[in-house]
Amino acid sequence: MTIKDIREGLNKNDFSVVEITNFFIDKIKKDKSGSFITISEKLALELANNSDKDISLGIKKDLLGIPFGIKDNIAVKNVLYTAGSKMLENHKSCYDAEVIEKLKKNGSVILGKLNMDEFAMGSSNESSFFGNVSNPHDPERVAGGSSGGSAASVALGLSVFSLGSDTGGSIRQPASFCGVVGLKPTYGSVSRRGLISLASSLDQIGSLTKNIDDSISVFKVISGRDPLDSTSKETDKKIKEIDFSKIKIGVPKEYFIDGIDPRIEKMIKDCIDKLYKKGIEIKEISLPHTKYALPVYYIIMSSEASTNLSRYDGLRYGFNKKEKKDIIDCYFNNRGDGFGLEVKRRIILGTYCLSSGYKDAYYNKAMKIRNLIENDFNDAFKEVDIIISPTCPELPFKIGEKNINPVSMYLSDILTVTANLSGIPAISMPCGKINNLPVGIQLMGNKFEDLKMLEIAKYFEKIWK
Amino acid sequence: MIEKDEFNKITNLARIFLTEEEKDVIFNDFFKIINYVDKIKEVKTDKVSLKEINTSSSLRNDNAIKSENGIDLVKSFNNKEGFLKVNRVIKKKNE
Repeated sequence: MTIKDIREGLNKNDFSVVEITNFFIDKIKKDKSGSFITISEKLALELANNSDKDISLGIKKDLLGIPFGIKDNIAVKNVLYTAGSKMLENHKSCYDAEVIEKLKKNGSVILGKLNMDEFAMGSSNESSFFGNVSNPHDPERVAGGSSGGSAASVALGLSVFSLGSDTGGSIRQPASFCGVVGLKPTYGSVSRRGLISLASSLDQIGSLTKNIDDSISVFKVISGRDPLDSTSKETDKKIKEIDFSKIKIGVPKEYFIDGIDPRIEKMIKDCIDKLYKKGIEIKEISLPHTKYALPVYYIIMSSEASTNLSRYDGLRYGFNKKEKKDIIDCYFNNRGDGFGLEVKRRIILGTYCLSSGYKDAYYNKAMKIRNLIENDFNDAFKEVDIIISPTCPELPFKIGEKNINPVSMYLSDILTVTANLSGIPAISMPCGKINNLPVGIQLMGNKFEDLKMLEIAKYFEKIWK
Repeated sequence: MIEKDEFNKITNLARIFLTEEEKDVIFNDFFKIINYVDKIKEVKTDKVSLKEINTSSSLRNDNAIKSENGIDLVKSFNNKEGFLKVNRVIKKKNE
């Protein structure tokens, strides 16, 4: 069911918001994929009741009565707020994130909190304290991460849309693996207030939906300046008319790399060919610093994460081990027991990159190369409107396959991290299947041209169907 | 190549306790990861400035405002009779 389907059903009185909410809650309770950590049944029915009242009064809002799920690193007042970690296993939020305030005002219905890699560190949803999320198309394979629960829940029809977060591909990669649409908006277009920080200069809240229309609907509601998030900016909510015959597509040669699955490469190139046959101009472009993007990303992300996660010491909230001698012992033990292996690995990497003697060679150097990567995109968007690439170099892999070598896991993000480093919007949409496993195609747009990118994606969606 | 002593110093700085097994696993992974990220040394950045993150002004007048979630914040502490209980920092005289 899409947002349009639910709206039509509500308008025709086929069902009420309470009835459709109960339908989803029953489905979630029977689900075995591991998508949900918390089902907020009481809150859902309370919001559904309010939405039914609004509908009976003739009130019209974009997402009125639409049930959705929320990645568990986004705050919902009085609901468990775990970030997929033992460290916050029993922690409840005392406030709503800005995006949640906006969606509540719009009459949307919160179904529950979705499973994720611990503290959003991962590309497979295997590092969650609350267990794996299995791929809806093959339960022996991963759903992707870190927004694995968000992607799987939409693919399985457990929620109409979901919210996720994307620091290096954590919405787009699971969207590709689960066969749904995943949008990472421009950095700053959606408030991060209430999002548990991983890497503050890279994190962005976005959506997972069944189609591009739904993506547009959600973006219009959640985007915009928040005075309590100084990195957020006003966004343009009006869709400008686009002459599709005049748009130019850039295909970066560096994104068709050694190591990409040749079947995925062929599928993406077939999609580009369909656009060419429709008369759309296709241009090969170069983003020369692409090969440094992943190492730059991991240095910056882990450095910022090591700082952001230093607040988790068990003193004011979170996991607190009872036996300890003094404050230092307390820090070591709470953090040692509260964090999983991948989180520890990245905190240690970040601490190293920021430590005396290494900060210049790693963090400062990485931030300079980041400037070069951003300039590559600035130059490219002087010539083209949209850049197209595969979302992932591989199909969804088997659960446990990549646990031995962390670098092989990190390579899953190789095609997605550049959008986060440069702050541009990017979206993954399904473009076909290989051996019944979904393949995602990625579109990237210029900064704050999210709606333009989405309209072009909608046009392409019809061509690729 | 990072030495084990240096690795231990970093884990100390991070204030994270590692079991012996975790130390071995993460230390071995660390070498692979550093080897991979060292690729950035290939890039000349002498004339490149550091990336700046643009923020809007977040300053407001320094007025006291009633916090709606002040009571809720206290509820999420390790709370004893409305006070935040923290671990002792200064050791007792006889310890």
